[in-house]
Amino acid sequence: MSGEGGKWKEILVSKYYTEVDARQARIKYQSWWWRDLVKICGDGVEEGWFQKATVWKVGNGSTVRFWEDVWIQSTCLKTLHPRLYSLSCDQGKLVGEVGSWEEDIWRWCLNWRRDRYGWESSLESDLLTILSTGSLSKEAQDHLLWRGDPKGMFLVKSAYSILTNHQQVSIKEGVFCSLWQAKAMPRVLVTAWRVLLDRIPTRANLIRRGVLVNSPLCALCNTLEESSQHLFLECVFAQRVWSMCYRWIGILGA
Amino acid sequence: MAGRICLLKSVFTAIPLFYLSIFKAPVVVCNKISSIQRKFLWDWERQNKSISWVSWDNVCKPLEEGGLGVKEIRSFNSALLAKWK
Repeated sequence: MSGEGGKWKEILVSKYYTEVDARQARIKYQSWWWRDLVKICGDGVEEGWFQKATVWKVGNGSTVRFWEDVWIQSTCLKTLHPRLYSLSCDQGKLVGEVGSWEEDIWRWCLNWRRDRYGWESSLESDLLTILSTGSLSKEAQDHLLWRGDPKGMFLVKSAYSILTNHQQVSIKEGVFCSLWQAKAMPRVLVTAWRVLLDRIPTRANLIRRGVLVNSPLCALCNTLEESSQHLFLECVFAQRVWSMCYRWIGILGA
Repeated sequence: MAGRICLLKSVFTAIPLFYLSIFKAPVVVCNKISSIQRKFLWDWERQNKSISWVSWDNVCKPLEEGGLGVKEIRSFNSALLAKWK
């Protein structure tokens, strides 16, 4: 995808893609390696994750299909205007075939099976407004862009975040964000992280996991159950430590 | 533990990186790698038995969402392979 003129692309194209249609890979004579790859990218399924993450940038419109491929909007025009699609004579046609050059200006020319009814012609004008935002250029080739990146280059990082369904833009707030930005020793941060998740070996946790069997009472005050909440905040001993810390850094109260 | 997290991210993810970016690893292999990583993180070598306090799914979450940002091998494999497409 990246590196248009690369040797690597030449090899792959000549080995796996027919010359007639650059989109359709040959089914026969595929190596195991390529089959794995195709399977991983979710090909064959109508909406594989890889397809969803890519969008066409139209140049001269000689590769992209007008209705079926995703190019001008974030979905293909077929799903955007199913009614118009069913009326269209241009099904399966390439973008470059739906219109023509007049001098240096591109004119869209849509063909329909019959006249549109009133409500359908409003759909049609919708479509024409969408189309007016895009234009073709004579020289440039069509190429695929990767959505995860503003420049359209493929990034393993963004592909990974798409696959794992994590938010791509990191949230700048949140307790965990400020936790990892804190200027403290890493081992302290890791302990704090485990405390936040309540994943430290307090007596309450150990009993829940069947490690300890005797009393769940706090080792310091011996009156209440030793949970992480108690141990770090509520215990009398912990509160003494906290108030000493407050005095030390000069915050009164508590 | 912080040192082990650092090693886990830099070394244990980097060692299989070359192979993962070319071949689709079988599920068994992915699971085995995750298993080695998990045991390393929770210090199984020394004590031979230890509690994995945080589930591996949570460890693999990014830092902002309360994980450690460790790469999940199978998804990472797919992401690396997609660049050939």
